[in-house]
Amino acid sequence: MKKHIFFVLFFCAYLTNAQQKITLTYTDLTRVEVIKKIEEKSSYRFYYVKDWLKDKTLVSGSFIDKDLSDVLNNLFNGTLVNYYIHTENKVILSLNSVIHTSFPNLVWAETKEQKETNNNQKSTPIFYSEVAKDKLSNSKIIRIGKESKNSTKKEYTLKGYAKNVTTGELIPNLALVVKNTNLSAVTNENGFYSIKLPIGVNEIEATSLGYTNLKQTIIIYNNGKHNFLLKESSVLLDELIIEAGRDKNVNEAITGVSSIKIQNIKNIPLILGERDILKVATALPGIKKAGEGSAGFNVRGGKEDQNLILLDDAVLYNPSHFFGIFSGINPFTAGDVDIYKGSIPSEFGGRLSSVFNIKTKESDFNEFKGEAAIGPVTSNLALQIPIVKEKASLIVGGRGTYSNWILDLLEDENLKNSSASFYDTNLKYTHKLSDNDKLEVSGYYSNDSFSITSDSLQTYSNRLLSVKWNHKFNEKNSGDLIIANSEYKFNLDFDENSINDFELDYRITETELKLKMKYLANEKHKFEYGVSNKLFNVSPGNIKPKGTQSIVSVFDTPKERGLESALFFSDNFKVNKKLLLNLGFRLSLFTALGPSSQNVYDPSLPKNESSILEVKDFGNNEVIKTYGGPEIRSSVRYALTPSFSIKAGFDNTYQYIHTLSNNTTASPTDTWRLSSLNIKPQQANQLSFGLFKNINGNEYELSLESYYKTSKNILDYKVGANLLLNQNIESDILQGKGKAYGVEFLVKKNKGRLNGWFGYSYSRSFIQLDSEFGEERVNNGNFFPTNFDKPHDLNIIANYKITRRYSVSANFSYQTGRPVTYPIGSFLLNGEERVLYSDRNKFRIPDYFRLDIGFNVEGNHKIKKPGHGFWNISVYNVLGRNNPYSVFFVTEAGEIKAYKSSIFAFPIPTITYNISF
Amino acid sequence: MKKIIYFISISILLTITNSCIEEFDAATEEFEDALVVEATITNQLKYHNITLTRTYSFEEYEPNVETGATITIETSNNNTYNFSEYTSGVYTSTTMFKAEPGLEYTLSIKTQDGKEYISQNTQLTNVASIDKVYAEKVIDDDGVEGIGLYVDSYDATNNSKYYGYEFEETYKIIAPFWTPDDLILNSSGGFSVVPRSQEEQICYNTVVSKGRLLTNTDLLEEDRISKFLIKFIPNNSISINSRYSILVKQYIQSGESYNYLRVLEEFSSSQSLLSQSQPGFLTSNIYSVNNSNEKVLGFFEVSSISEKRIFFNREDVLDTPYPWVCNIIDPSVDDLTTLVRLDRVTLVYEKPAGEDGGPYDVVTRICGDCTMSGSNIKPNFWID
Repeated sequence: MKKHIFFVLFFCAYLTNAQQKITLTYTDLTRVEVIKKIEEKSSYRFYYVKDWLKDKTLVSGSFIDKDLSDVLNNLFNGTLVNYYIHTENKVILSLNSVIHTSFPNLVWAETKEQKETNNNQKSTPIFYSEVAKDKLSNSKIIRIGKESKNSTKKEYTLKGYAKNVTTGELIPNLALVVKNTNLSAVTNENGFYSIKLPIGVNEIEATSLGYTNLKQTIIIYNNGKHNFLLKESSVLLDELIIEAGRDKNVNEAITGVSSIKIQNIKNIPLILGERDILKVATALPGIKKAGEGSAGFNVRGGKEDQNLILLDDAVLYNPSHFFGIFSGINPFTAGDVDIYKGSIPSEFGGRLSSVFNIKTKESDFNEFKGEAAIGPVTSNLALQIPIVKEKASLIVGGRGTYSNWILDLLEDENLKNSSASFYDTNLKYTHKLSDNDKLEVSGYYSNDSFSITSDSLQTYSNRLLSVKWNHKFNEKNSGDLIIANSEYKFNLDFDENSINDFELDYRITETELKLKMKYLANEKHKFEYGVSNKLFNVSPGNIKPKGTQSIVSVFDTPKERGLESALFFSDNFKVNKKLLLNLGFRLSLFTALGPSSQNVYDPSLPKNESSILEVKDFGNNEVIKTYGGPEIRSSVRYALTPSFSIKAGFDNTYQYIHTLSNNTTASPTDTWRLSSLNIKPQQANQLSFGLFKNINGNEYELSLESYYKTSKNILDYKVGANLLLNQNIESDILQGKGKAYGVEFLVKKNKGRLNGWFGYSYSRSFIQLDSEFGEERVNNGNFFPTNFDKPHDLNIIANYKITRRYSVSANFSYQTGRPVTYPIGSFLLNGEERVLYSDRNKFRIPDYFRLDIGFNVEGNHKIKKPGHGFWNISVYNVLGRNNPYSVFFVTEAGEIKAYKSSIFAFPIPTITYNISF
Repeated sequence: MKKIIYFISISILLTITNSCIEEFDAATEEFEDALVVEATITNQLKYHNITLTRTYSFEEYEPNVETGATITIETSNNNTYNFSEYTSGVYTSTTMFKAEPGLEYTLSIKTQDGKEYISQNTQLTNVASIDKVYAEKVIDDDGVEGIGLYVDSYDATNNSKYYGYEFEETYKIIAPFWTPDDLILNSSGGFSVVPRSQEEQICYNTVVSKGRLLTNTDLLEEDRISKFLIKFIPNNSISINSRYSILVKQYIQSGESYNYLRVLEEFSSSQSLLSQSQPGFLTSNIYSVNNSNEKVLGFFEVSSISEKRIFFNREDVLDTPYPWVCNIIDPSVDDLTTLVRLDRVTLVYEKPAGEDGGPYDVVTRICGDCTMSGSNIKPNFWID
């Protein structure tokens, strides 16, 4: 039984009317001094706690023959102090509370909750019932706002920031839950929150990963501000969780979203010592890779080029190093990744399947921090540098490989001559210009170079730059202005000291200007709207001679230019507690711009050189062709219970930029090309449905999602197409229909000693390449499985904490083997044996499975030490399974031999040491 | 700690790199039977051949031939050349003819079972002749010394672009330990020394290349083939024991036929481990008239041809003599009986009685009898 202590004061009303008149003038005095003055000039005596008036603001005033109440009203205006003039010339001051002169018609027992029956009353007094503190909440009671006698409102807004008590760093995604109610709020990315609370006592629990939970009793008298100051947990983030905001999964309207926090994947077993946020993503249902050594992702049956990968708002064209074995994202500087594979928010566009929105961590504003790792193949260093305390800071990261020396040690002649290396660096500068303005500048550069043979060298690089200015106009309106520029290029050098030596370059750049506005209209409507414009410049392939003896001619494939514009709008419409709609709309438009020469083909003939009717020339910036249309991005959530919801979504998307590749899997030399007169934009429609359930808070999260997707104008190629330096590329391109569907099941356990997840998906992905002309048909024009159609996909990631310092983790992965085109016979041509291939993707390589284990040791937890160490010992592919990646057939001495290749056929042990300081 | 990391890293890299690719026994999971047409018509006046075969499964060693077909080639000036089957599956033109520039050629095939096939209209490609074929001493990538055979060609009109090379090698073999006499077993079980019954000192062998070597000048400023490697012969190859000749045939190909052969080659050569080009059925310029989905393999090409033959002696290029591996032995009578019966040795020297060891010095047959490695008939074109 809770003990109630009431200290409501009540007095008789008649006493308040007899006031002495006061004449008083004062300038630049503190309120305490004014009170002293009043006491000197009158017989009033004031009773108060000095702390309430410790504010040193100077006030001035002049009163002639006024009531004391007038003087005091003026004096305490803008403070939280109320007063009560008692008989016998006593003035009692109070903080927050109003001292009531009548006793409301309440029964004592009802003071705990404010009853609706009181709503006729002019003002509902707040009775301060101090609840017996439970032992965890050692906090003081916080009173917010000044109680107003005249208010009829029953709810007030509390807002403020969540901050790290030691560093002052703002804490995003902090969940604020009001006990015994349905009320909750989550801090936004800037650590800001706003919550409507009923007047009176509210017990708020603030929880965030990595911070000790904070319980605070807050008494609401009026609108007000309160900052939650949280302490970091003594052990940094030792759980393996994918989570954003508690119950977000259940509550949001949009479907098919996954969020990964880099900190939470710390304990997952590593491959070659690299923590890899994108690789973890592939352990979630619906996100796959064609194979271990393939770059890019296949999301819900989509091709690798259909993913929009954003790093701080700029597009990252190639997110992988070394053919996809390592990711291009530095794990030390990356913050969160949100992956949209179902409902794509209307602010994003231009890709059919998914958006990977990767944010760099915000640097610490107060303290210099660093993190470093030493692994067998790479080393990594990241620093957080405050520039102006509380206002500006910089995070920089860099990674590099030193694998070449290992290759040099090997005896194999071919490998000795081969080399591979990569590095990447990134930085992000954050400056809080004012309370309402924030500027973020991000940069990223990555470079890969490898040579498989001694006479060729391939390099590729990504360069990203983005500037974002966030401005808050007022409580309800805020906006982001973003300028982002990305460049991707690759280069092929061939040098064998002959007349054929050459240098080949490919380059794409894009610049985007985007304005995104948020308008929180009211409880029911939250609007987002904006406009974006993106300019593409592609130089699809230039070749020039290398060295003096080369007679290779200089050749430039004509450059391509295009402008992608979009208007977007969305309304997060809360119809009622149960029904939430997210209505999104995007209007996108693509204009292919000159200068250019475009072939016009005879539609009654297959596209090839002989069916060109005319060549149209377009001048600089002349419009070649415009494509576009409306895109609907809508979803609905219906909450059956607070922790169980069903969702449905419908999305359509356009894509105006495509990769050309005649490989079975993505590779760095795939070229991006724009839609043109002869290449139509790709389009997709997706219908999705999901059930979401949380058990025991969010200890367990369950979801079952399904989708059905159709697409058209998906690019593919004629067999043997020559895609580089091809001027009539469209004659080698086929565009066809796609069809994909699947069911995804995920159970996550977020808390406890054992945590992790189990994900399974059954999905199919097909493509159809049909035409009236035989040479433009594949598999007789029927639907056939895509190269990444892997129906069964199962992933288990588990982490078990033995003690605070030791933990073990395991990762199991099983997938159906991917489809391959297999020989179905031989034939003899010019005396050589050749193979006849089956219909495309008629067979499958054996199923893939792999188990990895890891053992993690945290450094000791002494407070005084130079840095915090962390050891990870991992074994990748413990079972040593030889998972074939591809099969191919070679004619050697006139005879066919069959080979299968795998990337990692043996267990690979790695040991990495991380230190943060 | 550093040591551990080094050690582990090395072991990792070793495991990665040692086990990536392994051979396996492919079985034909599903066999598809299709017609294979080998039809190259050139501007050489001759009886042209067209070969029809079928695809075959991995379990078979050679293709079945397509017999009993009717083949004709029609030209745009209304000439028809008929072909008849002289050997099974090989169809030869009934008259001599050569492809002429500016005319269109169409191939028609009607198989025994009544299926009809037709090619696209095809024209003779540009005519360009080989400039030079030459041999040079080289050391290859594996550090082996040998002879590189190269070709140069140049087309000032810049119209040739796509080149294919085939070749025929002919070489003379001089058996280093040839003697006029040979050792035979006589009817009484003893040895007899008799004069050789045939030419066994100097022979010739001809080897025809398989497949076609491809190169193009697409990316070059000039239509020039410079030092294109036709063949590398290691210095211990018997083909360069004394005198060697090569006939290089240069085909100027159409872009389509070149691409057809190039892609087939790409599908059957070593692939990069990490990116594999998409294999599949490659459309030919020959179609089935009855069923547009029927697969037809091979290409009908009308290509100009240019030939060049060169001769050279080993010592013209290399400084070292051919390293014959010839052990002269004198086995016991019993052993020798077996060796002679199996034709393994030839006589070098008949030892006078009383010397140690066996009665005769003999040598491995290949060192004393050139017919082991070639034919003893001198080819007509051979120039010493």
